[in-house]
Amino acid sequence: MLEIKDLHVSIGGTEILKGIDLKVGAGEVHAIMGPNGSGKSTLTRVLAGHPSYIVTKGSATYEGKDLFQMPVEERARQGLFLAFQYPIDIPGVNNAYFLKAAVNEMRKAKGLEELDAMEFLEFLKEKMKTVEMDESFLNRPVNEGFSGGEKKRNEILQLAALSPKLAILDETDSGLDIDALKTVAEGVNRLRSPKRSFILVTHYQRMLNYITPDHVHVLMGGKIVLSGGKDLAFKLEEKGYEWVKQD
Amino acid sequence: MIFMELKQFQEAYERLKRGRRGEPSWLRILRDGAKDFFLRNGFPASDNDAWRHTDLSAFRELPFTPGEDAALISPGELKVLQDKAGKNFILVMNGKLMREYSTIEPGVEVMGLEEAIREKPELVEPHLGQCGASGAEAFNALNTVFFRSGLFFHVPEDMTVKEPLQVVFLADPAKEHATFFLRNLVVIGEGSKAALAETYLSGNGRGYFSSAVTEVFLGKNAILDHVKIAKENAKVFHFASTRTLLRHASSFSSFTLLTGGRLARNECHAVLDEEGAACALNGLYLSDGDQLLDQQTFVDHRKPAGKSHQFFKGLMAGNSRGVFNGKVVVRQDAQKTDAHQTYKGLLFSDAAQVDAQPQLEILADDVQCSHGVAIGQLEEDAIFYLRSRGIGEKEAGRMLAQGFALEVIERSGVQRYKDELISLIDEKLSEQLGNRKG
Repeated sequence: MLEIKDLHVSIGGTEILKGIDLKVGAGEVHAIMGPNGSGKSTLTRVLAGHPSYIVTKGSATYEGKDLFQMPVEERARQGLFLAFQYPIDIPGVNNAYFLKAAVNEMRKAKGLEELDAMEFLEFLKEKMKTVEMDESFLNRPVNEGFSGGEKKRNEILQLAALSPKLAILDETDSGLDIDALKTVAEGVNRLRSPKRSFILVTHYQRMLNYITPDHVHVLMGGKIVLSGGKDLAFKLEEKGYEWVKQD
Repeated sequence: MIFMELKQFQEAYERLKRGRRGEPSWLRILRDGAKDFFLRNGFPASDNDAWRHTDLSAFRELPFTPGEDAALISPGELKVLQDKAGKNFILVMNGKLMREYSTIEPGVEVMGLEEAIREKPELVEPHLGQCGASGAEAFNALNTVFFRSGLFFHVPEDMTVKEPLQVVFLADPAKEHATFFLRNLVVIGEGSKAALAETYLSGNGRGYFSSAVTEVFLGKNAILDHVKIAKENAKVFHFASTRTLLRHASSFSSFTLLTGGRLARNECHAVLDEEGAACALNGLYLSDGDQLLDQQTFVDHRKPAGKSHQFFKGLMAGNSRGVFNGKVVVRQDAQKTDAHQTYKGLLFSDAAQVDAQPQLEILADDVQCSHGVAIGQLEEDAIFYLRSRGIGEKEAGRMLAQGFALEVIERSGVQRYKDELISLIDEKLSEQLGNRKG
């Protein structure tokens, strides 16, 4: 589904990613772990198409297409979804209105008919149960006044509503207490399918107790320095990132 | 502005005077005073503080002539306007109140100002030109000199007018460079409540000078809800003011939407002349192309326990310019005044400009006052977030702009006109975004 080759990415003149190689197949769950500043968020943002990040070398192919040639909204419409670490407030834009617009863009891209207000509400109610969000969130401006946990759940709600093929979760576990984390993890697990892939970016191993990855990669200093199975995550938890440096 | 160049001005005035021989002496004195003011001071110079950012040179070059020329809009089109509006609808065309196209509820006292001067002098004389806000000023003076008529709306004491009065001021000139001077007078008696909506429209694509002064007098405990929409065509020069005098515990709440005109300057003046008066001034303008939209406010707290809240926003696209000047004066006697003002501007393009200036003059010492100005562009991160959910770049910009504009509507409590205002805003936003490059 996704193939990244020798990716170098800079922002503001500074090189952050220094040659990333990664292959994500359909139905696979990959965890990317690493210390702060290693380039984890940069990777997620450049895949989503954030304009501040410049690809200086390398490529990324998504479903056989050149990802970096696709504008941001096109990537989303082709099924790439990024759950942000710090979702931004959008005052004045109603959450339900925004979700409906996003869902209908996805439907248009798949050749499906758009949902009207009533149909959308029915559709969304179902999804909201999976993330334990109540309807009061729908009438508020996007993320405005939401607690950290609520923002993360709003991201997972979007994930559930948009049914992406490749879901990238950027430190979705950060700032969540154990119950919130369990809810988010359950939401994600329910969405696992042979046609859907996940990239979970995380600093701590904690979330991986609830979402079992197929592959674990360690990102340090802008490069993937180590890859393994789910046991790698436990090793890191035990020994810390220093151990990787020594190896 | 040929007739307003001094030598023609005196002649034009003398000619007018001859045509108005039946006017009462108090009105003649008022007009003479305004004429003398204009002869002495002329138009504001570019170093005049209140006009620093509003360039009048294009306006002054055009050969406007006084006296209104009227083209003929079809009766059918006027009927459509009337039917759409429903109850309490008034059509004022080229300055004249058209009863045949108006639907007035029984018991509501509305007539042309010309008629009121003749029939209700006891209500007009004590109020016309007596608002007392910010002293004499060029455009106000011109309006005083040249107005022929407009709207007169009176609500006697202890009466609630249930249906808002919707007035459409339609200008339909036969030639380019006509002028329309409108004077409106609204008198709300003690303990009464009413709502008024003014809409300024162009009947055709010709440019003209549109001068409108609306004077509002609120008796003790009186309440007026006011909405003003100015969406004249892109060649119009619109200079208008709403001047309100508030008596004890009265309340004035006003919302202004400016989208039209080559240059539109709207001034909201409120004099809180007695204790416990309250006014809320809110508004929004959306500019595009080469427009200049200018909102001025002046609130004069003269007595204690007055409240004033101002919330204005501007969205500037293309090469357009937004101006805001919010002046609040709290006099020495006005203890326990609560006065707050906010202006937020959003620039849609690199060429758009905005000049926003709050001015607070506080002479009392036991007050709560604040003011704030914030100018910005569409947030890159917000646009990226929306695009990352599949929403196209233009649509993302539109959603954010709409959210920005709607905040004023939400905070203004203009529930009655919400739908109409939202659709007018959406219409203008589509134009602004349609013209946007990149």
